[in-house]
Amino acid sequence: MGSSPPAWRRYLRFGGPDIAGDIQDELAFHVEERVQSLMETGLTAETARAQALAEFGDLATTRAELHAIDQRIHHRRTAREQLEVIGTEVRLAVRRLLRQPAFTVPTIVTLGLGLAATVIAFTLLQTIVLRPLPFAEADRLVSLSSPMPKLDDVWGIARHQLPYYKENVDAFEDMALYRAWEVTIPGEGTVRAERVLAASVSASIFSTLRIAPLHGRLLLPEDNIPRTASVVVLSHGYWMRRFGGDPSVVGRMFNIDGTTREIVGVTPPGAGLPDRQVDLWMPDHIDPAAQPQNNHVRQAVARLRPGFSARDAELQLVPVVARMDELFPSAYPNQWIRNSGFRTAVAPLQDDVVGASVTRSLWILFSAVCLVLVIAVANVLNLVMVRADGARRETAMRTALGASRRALAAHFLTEGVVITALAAAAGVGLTMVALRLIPALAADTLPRLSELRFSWQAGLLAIGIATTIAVIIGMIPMAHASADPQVLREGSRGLAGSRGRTAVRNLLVVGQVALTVVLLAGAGLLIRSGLRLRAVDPGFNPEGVVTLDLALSPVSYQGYVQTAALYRQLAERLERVPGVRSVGYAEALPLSGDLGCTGVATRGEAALGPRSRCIPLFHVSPGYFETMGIAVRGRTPTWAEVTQQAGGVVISPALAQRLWPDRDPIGQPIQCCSGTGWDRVVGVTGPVHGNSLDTPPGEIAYFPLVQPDSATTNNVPRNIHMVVKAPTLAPITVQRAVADALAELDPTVPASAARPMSELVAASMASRTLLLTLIATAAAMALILSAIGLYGVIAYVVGQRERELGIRVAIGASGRQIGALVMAHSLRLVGIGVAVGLAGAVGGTRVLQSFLYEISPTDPAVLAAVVCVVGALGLLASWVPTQRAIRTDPVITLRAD
Amino acid sequence: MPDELELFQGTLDVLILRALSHGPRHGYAVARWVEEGSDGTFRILDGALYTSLHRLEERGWVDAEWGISERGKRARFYRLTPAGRGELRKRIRNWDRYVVAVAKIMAAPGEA
Repeated sequence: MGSSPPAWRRYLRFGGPDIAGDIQDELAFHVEERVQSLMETGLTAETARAQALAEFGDLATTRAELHAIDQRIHHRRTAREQLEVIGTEVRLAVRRLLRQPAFTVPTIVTLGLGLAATVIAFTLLQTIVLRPLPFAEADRLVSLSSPMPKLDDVWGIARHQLPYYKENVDAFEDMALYRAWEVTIPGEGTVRAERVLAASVSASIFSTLRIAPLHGRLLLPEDNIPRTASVVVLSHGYWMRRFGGDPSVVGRMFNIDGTTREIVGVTPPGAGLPDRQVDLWMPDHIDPAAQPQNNHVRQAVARLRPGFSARDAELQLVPVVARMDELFPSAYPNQWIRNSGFRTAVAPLQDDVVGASVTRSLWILFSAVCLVLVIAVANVLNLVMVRADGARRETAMRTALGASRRALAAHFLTEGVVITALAAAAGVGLTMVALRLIPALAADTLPRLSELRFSWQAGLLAIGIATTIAVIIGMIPMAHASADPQVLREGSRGLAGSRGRTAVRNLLVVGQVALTVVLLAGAGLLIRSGLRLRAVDPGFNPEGVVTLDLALSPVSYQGYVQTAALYRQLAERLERVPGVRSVGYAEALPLSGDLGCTGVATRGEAALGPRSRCIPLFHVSPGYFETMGIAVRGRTPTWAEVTQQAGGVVISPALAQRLWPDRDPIGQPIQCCSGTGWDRVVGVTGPVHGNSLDTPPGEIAYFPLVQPDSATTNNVPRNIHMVVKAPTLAPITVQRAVADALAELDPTVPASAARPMSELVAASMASRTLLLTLIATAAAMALILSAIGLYGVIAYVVGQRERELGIRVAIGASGRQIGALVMAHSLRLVGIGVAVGLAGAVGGTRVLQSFLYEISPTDPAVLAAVVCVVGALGLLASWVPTQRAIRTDPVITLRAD
Repeated sequence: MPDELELFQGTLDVLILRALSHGPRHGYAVARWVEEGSDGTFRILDGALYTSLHRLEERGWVDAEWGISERGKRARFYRLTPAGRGELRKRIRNWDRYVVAVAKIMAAPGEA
């Protein structure tokens, strides 16, 4: 052991502390001191050394222990120091950013908005389209439907198909039928009567969807046998709402629509039909022994056996369906299956629930929002580049003073990370708020919104985007940072090096403008098509009409006389209310999506003949056409005629055209629903859009509330929509008037809240409106962002060329010429951007085709308007910098050197 | 010379902290202070002393720094940190209570 450490070892410290060396030195010093002091007591050097080592103990073990301890100390210290360095860098970065709000605020706002928009669109897409339905092994669930190419229609599934398919289709592990409608739960003590949604199901729905009971039992196959079932299962939501989650309700009797049923069980939270949540589960009447009927109105869901695809099931169904004519002759006379082209289509349940239109909308939205994000990032890049240029002298100075590239990179990266972190925090905050608001705003237009959550995938996406942006923002100033001390001498003359950067900036602006043109074109097409749709005459006049729903108990209102009497008395009372012009009732309202369909026929042709169609048919009362403002040629039945069962059918012109192409339909015989009595056509309406505004006004038949035939007289609808024309009254006033009248006539009849008819019309366009609103918002964001981008670049270019412009002014250029020079630059950028964007729009807007109504995806008017808007905004964005250029004072600019 | 006593780990720590309470010392000086202060009652292996010193450093109770010894050699000096000073005070208090309590029990009449 030497008395002093060898000098060379100090150099090791450049790579961190020399732990082993230090321990060696420290222990050597100790032993040396001990030896010295022992020698002072008279021991020889050897004995002294031996004793010193003995007193020390195990030298090697101690050394190893110390080494381990010191290493831990070293690691901890390094970590702390690094944290301190990072802390300092962050503090400095925050301080720098706070000093430059002109850079910081737009950057954070732009990035925050872009990020929020992307994450929100992603979350919608993920929740609604990408995530499996909330059922066990949902990928094996399929929905069934019955397309009939020769009738140009698609029906549901009939009851007798359930046992038949279950037995004969190998690919199905399980299968179930379901329907849903509202039922009335009568008031009880202080609890008011209410309308709730009930599912009418085959017992197999629970095994097919894999729902287990929370309490009691679910439905059994034998529950489906009786005509009127005596049991009901509660959903978790309804059980909590109505019974406060009391498990003892199982076994209790419960009145539904006037029939008492036993509550046998409760389903777990979240359990529902594939396409909606229900309050009650009731057994449908599905008796395999019953006579099969051609009544394809139920929805069907099946679970595929593992290893089978929807296509496999469809193929297996072909021979199974082909045998149905033979097996069920009572339902399908005259080879009806073969003649109608009837088959059974099998589609993944998710496609059926979510729907192609929503899937497409959300993908389009997500793509549009990604474009906005790209524009936002381009904008921020521009801002960063401008700022980096301003900091070039500072950077060069730091480099000249010995700052390493690593230190500079750390400096810029920290700044990028800090600003992006702030933007990301703002963006995620905005996303959270939006995700809370969306379910309320889009409740009627998007499915599965109850499942909307901020997922970890969305978090990952946000972090991924933010990190990428942070790195880009951090790297650009590095690329700009020149180690060339020449920069320090450049002064304001340095233009040579900036040429490349200006080119990049120009490119960014061209790209932004191009993307904006694409988005605007999309938004423009949707807006124009929306306007066209709004201009479509629905065939009725919703202005000043309010509608509310009534539900009569099937037990108290069994006969038609009583039911029709209530409707008539209620209408008469209401018509006496000041402000009410007319009152009517209809089983279904146009554009409300619940029209249903049945066959009708005239003499010499069967209602379900091969050439028949399934058309909307519903019962309406006197006063309906007047209230709705539907023009009628001929006449409509009066209340007196209804009471006397005098009949009288009103039909749409399309139906008249099909049934009696060469005759006046008025006075012709007509029959509904195969096998019921004959009636006469008394009137023909104008064209009314029944199902939607974007499909042509189709065939509709309006039957009187009470039909002449005794077999159908008791089919008077007890769930009915009331329409009231009262242009001067608020919906709530009408609602109160109805409630007052009902209080006197029959207080047990529940009435819904009143809605303006115009709201129903708007709701029928809601899915288009939603996409339109979203795309228009994205396009507006893009427009504003690219205007800011353009302004930034032109302002920068003017700043760079100030000296050149000064010289031009000095040698006699006029303000107008200077302005033209700057404007030319700006317009060149916009022009190229618009040209590229138009090319993109022509190719890109094709994805919107299915959302457009009577307008081509390359509608010239829309494209021209987009060019004008972008051009105008381009001019506006370059106006301010141009004015500055015109005011260039050559004396000041030239003296600046 | 009476029998040498083994020291408990915790006791060694408190002796070291006490040794450093007078000012910075290197390891050898600490060893000498303990030996002399106890009149040779305690036998401390020097290795154990160093392990203890480095552990105290790891806990943040002492700081170490290279300096020059009285004889002009390069040596590692230890000094109490404020945290170490606090720890020493706490341990002295506990020690006093411990000694009083043990002494009281030992002094109680009984078989010796």
